[in-house]
Amino acid sequence: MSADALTEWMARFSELDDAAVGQLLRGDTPAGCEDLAPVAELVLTLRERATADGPQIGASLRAQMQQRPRVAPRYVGVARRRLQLAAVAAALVLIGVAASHNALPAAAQRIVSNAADLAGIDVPRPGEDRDHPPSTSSAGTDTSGSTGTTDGTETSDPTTGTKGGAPSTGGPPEQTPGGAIPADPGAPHDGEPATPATPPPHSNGGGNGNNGTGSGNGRATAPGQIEGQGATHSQG
Amino acid sequence: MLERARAGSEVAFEVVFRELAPAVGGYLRLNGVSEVDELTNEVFAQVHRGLRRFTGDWGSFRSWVFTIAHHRMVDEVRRIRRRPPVTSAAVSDEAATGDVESEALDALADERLHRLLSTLSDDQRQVLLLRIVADLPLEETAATLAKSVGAVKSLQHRALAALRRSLEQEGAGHRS
Repeated sequence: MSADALTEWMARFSELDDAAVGQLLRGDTPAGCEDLAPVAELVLTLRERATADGPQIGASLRAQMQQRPRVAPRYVGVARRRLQLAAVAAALVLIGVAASHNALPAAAQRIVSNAADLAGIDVPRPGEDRDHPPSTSSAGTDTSGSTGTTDGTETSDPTTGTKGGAPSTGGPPEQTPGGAIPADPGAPHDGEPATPATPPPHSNGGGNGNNGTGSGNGRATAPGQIEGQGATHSQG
Repeated sequence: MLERARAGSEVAFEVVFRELAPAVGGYLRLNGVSEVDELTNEVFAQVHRGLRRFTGDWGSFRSWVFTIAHHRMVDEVRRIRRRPPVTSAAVSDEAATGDVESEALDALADERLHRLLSTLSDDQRQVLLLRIVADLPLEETAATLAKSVGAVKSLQHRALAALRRSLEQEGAGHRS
């Protein structure tokens, strides 16, 4: 056959549109192109024979496949970092909320409070009751000469005339003996009106539990009765 | 499956291999590569190494795999052409392991295909095999061969016309 035959077939294939050529390359004979059926048949044979013998995975490739990837895919790394950041943020929020409600263990609460202080944020210290803030008035100002003791009794110091026993140290609040609630000088007890600014005279121990003066105040002696700070009974 | 393979799953990559390796092997064999299994494994080893950096869908992945296969084939064919040819009889002896009659028919079919494809230029054969065996669309075929779509269309028409003429000659030979 000559180049003329090739030219004729070239002209024949040029008549076909893309769809017809695509059909032919899938092994189908386009409608009206029966003269091209041998080509479609050859395409089918080509497809069949080309994929007849599938290569097997060799030992070298198998070993490579069994190696764990040395570097995590980029998108996995990003997702992991985002997850870590979210977890840290969530933990900080939880700690912050718990600290603001004074719900952390004492040691943790103290650490968080100190750290927050550095940032100028007011976070309650362990044991501090923000719902019932202590009064700061009259602490250690009573000069009646009596001194508060830890058991709520009073002793008189004639030399100083001060009342409240131990000097104010500004230390941590002391737990009232007997598990009594911290006395609130402003809170009414036994039907007495609250007088937060001017505590009653001769109040036992004077001051509040936060400044260390008048330790021994607020000892409960009976249910519903509080002896000591805030009580209105008079010193003799 | 591609995502799992990319994440390092051996099972997923094996599925990918079984899906594409036959076509890759056929593409290499019909382009004249003799050590088809070995080269196919090398192609997939390269795919495995680069898989974590690959982005795209299955179609793009298929095109990428055949681009790698094409480049390895070109290198291998150049290497083969520089060394003394291996006789086809020797290759057939190595391959004969099972049903002799079936293998003989397969060998005849392969020989016919090789003969028909040998009438095409390298470019025409590569275009036709990428379109038929690799099942790549025109655009992907053009990208794989670093040619324009128009050039690939032209090569495709010429290849089909040449094959049709060869089939005509084959029929005439059988009749005579």
